[in-house]
Amino acid sequence: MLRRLLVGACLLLTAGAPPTALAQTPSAPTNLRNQQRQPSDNRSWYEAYADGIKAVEVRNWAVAITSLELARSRGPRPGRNVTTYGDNATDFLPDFYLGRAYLASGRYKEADAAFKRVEQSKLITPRNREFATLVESGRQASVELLIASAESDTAAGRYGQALKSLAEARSLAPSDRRAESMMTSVNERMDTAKSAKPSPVQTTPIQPRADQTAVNLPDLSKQTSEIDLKAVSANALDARADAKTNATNGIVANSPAVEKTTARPRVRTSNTSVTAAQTTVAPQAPVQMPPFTGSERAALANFFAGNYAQVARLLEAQINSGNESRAAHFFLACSLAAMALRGEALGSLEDARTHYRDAERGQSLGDVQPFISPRVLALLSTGP
Amino acid sequence: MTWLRGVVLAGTALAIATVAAPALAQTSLQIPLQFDFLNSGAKSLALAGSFVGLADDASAAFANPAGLTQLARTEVSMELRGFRRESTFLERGRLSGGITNQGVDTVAGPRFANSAASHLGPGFLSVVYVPGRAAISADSTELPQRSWALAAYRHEFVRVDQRFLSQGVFQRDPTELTSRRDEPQEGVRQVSMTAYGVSAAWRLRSDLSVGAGVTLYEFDLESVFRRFLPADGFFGPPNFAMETGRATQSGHGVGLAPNVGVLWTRGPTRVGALYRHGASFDITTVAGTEQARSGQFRVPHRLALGASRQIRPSVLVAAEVTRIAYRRLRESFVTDQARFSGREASFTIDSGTEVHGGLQIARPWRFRPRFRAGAWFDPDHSVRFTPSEMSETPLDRLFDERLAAALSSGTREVHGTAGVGLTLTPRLDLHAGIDISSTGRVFSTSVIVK
Repeated sequence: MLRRLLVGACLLLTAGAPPTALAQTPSAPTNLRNQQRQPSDNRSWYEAYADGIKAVEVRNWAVAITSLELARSRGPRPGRNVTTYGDNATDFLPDFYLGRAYLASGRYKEADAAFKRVEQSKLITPRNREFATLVESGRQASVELLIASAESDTAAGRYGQALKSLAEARSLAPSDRRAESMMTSVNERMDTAKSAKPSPVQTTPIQPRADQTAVNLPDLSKQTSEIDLKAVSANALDARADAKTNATNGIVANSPAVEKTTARPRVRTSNTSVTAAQTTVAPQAPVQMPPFTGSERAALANFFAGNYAQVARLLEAQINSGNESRAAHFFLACSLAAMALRGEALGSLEDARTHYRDAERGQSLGDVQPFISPRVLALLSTGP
Repeated sequence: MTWLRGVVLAGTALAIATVAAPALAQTSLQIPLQFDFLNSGAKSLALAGSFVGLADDASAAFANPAGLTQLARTEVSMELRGFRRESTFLERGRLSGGITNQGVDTVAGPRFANSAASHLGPGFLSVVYVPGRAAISADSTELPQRSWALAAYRHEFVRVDQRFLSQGVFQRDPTELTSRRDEPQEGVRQVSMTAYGVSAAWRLRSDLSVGAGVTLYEFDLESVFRRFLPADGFFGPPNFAMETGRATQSGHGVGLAPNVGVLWTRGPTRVGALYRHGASFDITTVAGTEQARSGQFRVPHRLALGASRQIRPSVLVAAEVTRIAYRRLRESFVTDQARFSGREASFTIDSGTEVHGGLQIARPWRFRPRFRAGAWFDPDHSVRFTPSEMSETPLDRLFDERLAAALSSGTREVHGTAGVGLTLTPRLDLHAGIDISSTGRVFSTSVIVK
């Protein structure tokens, strides 16, 4: 009986010992163990949240992130007038402050995700004092994420993807010159790479201009008819799809020409979002199109960036100067139709259809049409 | 006719004198002493007292000190509480035999009356000290922690103020030819218990807090029960000029009693428990010319288990089950009063289990009003008389009959509660609550300054 009691007591003592003690090796020094032991954070979620906000105010990002992450994990669903304890309430917006802390800490992906959560929650509207900060910080996070992505792509030799990211970054933050200078750098790298090893698909860099929004364009300066329009369009449409997402969240303007493109399956990677087309549609069959002029290249860039008025100005000037082409008529028609869909220039729809017919010139446009919104094409093809 | 009046008075005195000595001691028992241990604060009152599992303002200092760790800043709570309560007692009537329609012997069966008492006073005052946490600067590396809170409070724990006048019931044992009458009696009973306490709370983990406190109870009991001869003969009304006996009960003193609480939080759910030990106080009973006797008034222990849950951002529910050891009141306090009858075993008080439930709905209007309502079950915790042995003498039988009737008025009750809370400024909350039952009304308003 006594023996059983002793055995039981030993078992109890063993079971009662802390797991860390069982796991430690006998040789582990005591002071090291103490250093490794983190003090338990026993703050309530609203204390941690208040600490997080204070830390953001004093720019102590490490404390801010720790505190806000704790508040987010332990607290209720974010909202306005959330009860903390008793009859006290607060606006609980951990993702908003977390995004700012992540952004300042260089954790752009997490910042972007945090701001997107805020946008999806619709807890910050233009009526709220946090709105301006959210818009600015959200845009900044997206830009930083795009630039980081471009740097990564450039290092990996994915110049097209890098240019796309940079173009998008520049469209989001026109005053930020980093994207533009990086585009120049990427174009130079592309030139160097091409001169070292010619690509079967001729692509040459375009020089970014201040009055246009650049997208990942193929080599339009070589006056070649072998243009990877499908790839161009896919990239451009994806860029606009992202722009549409941002527009939905109240950051940038919407574009009707991309409304149908959101049906493309999106794949979330570790660093940024890309479309399935970008990852699975590799070399595409070249489309036979007339060579592009300088105005047409600029217009094309603007078209895929959704700047249809600029496209119309450029291409109308080109056509009026007698320098017509099928591409000029086609993209002018599409731009005018897109503007009509936006309700910007209803009177130009007839002109759009005229230019569309001029673009056809008895030839099929089937290779180009898949990259234009079906709504735009429907509008163009239903005329008299 | 003067001689006749003298005979009647002498006969009456003789008839009454046969039961006078025990009657003096029994008198206090014939008036039920019943009071409730309500939690402090208007918010708690409006939520039907379901506060142990909530304990989220300064009144937690008394209700469940473990909840003090929830407070993020120092708070002061002040409450003004008023009540009106009725106690039912046996006032007149004939319990056995036929009525004679002489004097006050005109009512067949027992007739009860109510003794109403009211009180208005500062029900609760507490100050909770929440220590400040380390300020966060640009180069801080330590996370500011806070694990404890301290509180001090004053609480009007019990207030009883009863006054009554009984005409004295008529009885007749079947073996006797004449009726007997319980002496007309007047009684005044005042009980007050004020609690002064300190509480401390400690947060063991982010989801678990414990609290403990010590309460100093200031106890004051003054009871005077007087018997009178009837005027105009055996069946006449009381003659207050002819006091036949007097019994008193008194006690003044202080007593210490501890309490411990725990609160566990998981998301929107909180579960709390509290044990409050009852203090004991010395009392002295003097009946007629008997030597003063010492006894004790033992405050019941209290064990409460509660829970609350924020089921929606605007909806909170709270519930509590409380076990109160009223049986402690019987020891000494009741048995001493019953000692003369030799029937101590026939007097009982059942411990009771209260069940509380409350609901709060917040509206996003100006002052963020929180509407509260609730109900709670209050078990019968009055002194009851159940003869424990067969009575053999007429006096014993009449005693049994009288006490059984006098202590039959206790009943279980359901209280309905309601109230509202307003946030006048971020640092000032105002609460109001009311508790309504068949025997009383309690109104409370409290202010919380943060």
